[in-house]
Amino acid sequence: MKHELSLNTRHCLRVAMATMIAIIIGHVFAIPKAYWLTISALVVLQPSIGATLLRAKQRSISTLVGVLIGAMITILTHQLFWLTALIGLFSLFLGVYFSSKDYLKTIFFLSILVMIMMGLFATNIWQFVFYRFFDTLLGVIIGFVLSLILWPVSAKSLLQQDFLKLIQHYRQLSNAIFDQFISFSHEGQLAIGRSRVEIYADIKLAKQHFEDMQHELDLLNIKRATGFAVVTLFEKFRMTSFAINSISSARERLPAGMIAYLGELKHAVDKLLGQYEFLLMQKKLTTQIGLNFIPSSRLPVFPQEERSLEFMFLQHNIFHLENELNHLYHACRQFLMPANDEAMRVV
Amino acid sequence: MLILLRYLKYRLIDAPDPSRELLYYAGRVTLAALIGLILYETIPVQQSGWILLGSVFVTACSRGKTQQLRFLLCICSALYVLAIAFFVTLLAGSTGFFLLFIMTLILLGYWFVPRNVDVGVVIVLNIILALVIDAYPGNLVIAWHRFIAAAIGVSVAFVCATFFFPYRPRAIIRRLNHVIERKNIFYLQWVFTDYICGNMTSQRLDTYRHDIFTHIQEGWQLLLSYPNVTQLKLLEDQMDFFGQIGVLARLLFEPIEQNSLVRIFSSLDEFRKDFFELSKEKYMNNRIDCAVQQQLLDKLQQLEQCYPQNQDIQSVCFVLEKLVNLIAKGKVDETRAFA
Repeated sequence: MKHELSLNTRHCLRVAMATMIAIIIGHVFAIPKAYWLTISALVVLQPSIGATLLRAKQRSISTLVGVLIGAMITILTHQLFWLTALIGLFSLFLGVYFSSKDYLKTIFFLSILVMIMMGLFATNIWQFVFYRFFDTLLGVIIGFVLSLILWPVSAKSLLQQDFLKLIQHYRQLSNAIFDQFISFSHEGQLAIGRSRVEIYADIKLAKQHFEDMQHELDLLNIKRATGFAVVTLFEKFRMTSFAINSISSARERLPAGMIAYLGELKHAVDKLLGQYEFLLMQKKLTTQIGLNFIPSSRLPVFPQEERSLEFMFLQHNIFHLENELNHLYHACRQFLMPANDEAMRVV
Repeated sequence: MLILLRYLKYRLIDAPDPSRELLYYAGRVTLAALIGLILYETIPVQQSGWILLGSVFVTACSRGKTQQLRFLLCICSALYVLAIAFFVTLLAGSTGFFLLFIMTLILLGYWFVPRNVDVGVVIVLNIILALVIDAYPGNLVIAWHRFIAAAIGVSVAFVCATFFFPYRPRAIIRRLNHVIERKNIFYLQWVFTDYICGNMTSQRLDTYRHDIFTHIQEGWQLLLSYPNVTQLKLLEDQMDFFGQIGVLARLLFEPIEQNSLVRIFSSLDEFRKDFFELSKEKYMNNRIDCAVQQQLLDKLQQLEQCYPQNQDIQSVCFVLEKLVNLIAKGKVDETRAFA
């Protein structure tokens, strides 16, 4: 039986392999300050090719600029120990401050710090600059090459997994929301709140993978566009769910027939999202599924006096839900379609 | 200059980082480094560079989502640093052992990263430390001196992590709720402004949405660890408020609605002014002007009656009514929260 390693385990092994290769190269070729080589290979490797490429670019550029500026500071201030220390501490502060926000700035400031620290004891500062940059570049190359040859994972496939997870969470959310109309409960509201936060986190992650996907070399523009469309549609879908949920507490004011319609709608949406889930589980698109959503035109007809404000608002949002689900299906299909597909060229 | 002032106002006054966690964290690490540096210069210990390394590395690990996790991270990283200072100094000469040690750390660290980022960070930082030591091997005497110096550094780190801006999750939750409330109002203000100015693709709205989104997530995570019913209700209200603004933005900006909403353009502009009078009153004087609130609700009712058949206008009115009520509701809850 074929046993597939999980993404995390593969990434773990890839990093271990890259570090080992870097350490061995450092020892075999007796590279001075070889730990920079190993550290670079270690930190450049990311779970996807796109993210690794981005990290590699950021690390090379910020190291070069940071090291040069650090060298200049050291040359200018090396006789004034406390002034150099103060600049070093300031660089540390900024480096740590940006650590969760901006990798480029973090490495830039930490490179200045390291240069100041090491530069104080270095006999030839420009030689140290050369070693630092050369080792970093070599480490970056090792990391990037390993990400390409050892279980390569594209950001696109990670994005597809995010979409799948989002669909699963939306399925739970939409079921919980429609259940609130049928019988309202505080536990249900809490479950909706939890799903909403999970969806926030999922969308954030999907956006991150979408950003990473932008840096992948072989990507067609159309994939970028469809990826963006799917992420946007998920956001719209989230808003529509919020809107529908916001009137679940006023369900008493809705006409009785409307609740029955919502029960029917719940099953239709669940079935449809189930089909999308199946679609997104496929590595290569081979199936075409038929959409079987209840159109908003099939909403029960009520006399004018029974059409409350809540009813009109709900009707409006069901119309949106219908549109978004249809668009989502087409966007997902385009996203999954192979790049050489004829339909893709037409688009 | 004006642009710079506006930028600073936006960054520092209008949109403060509610938890200021990163700022405190960076301050804590820098303070530890400064104390470490002073000790490095003054204490006559061999291998004194390790005072600095120990203090910075352990303080850098003093960040986690809960108080307990922070303490555990500090303890673990302190033990790691001490072990590395002693054993890796001895192991460094032997490539085989060193490789085995590093591989174990990497596999352990990267296995942890998706489960708990903070623990992963501790391990990765220590891998880096071990890699640096490998370049400077030593004997038992050096290992012992490094151990002593690292122990001093670790003590400095503990003092900094305990006394310098200690972690107060309940205060952070309260502040987060307050900032989300304010940001929601700013977000709504820009939704109206962009609609009235015809700016349909505003980056600013995305930034606000993203910020509020992140704060809500942080607040929710904190409330999971430190439950507080009042703050949870406040956060849920703000989530509702945020959701309604999103719905309003979609109603206003989607081309399909624009044709019919043009009819109530001037009414929307008037509503906007009154609405912000109401919110200003609330946030400046901490009270709700009931007359303005009633006036707003009356205006909306009039609009609804003028266009009974128009779904778009009815929907916009419905959302606006909810927003007005949510502002008033927030006031009641807030009073209760601080009572």
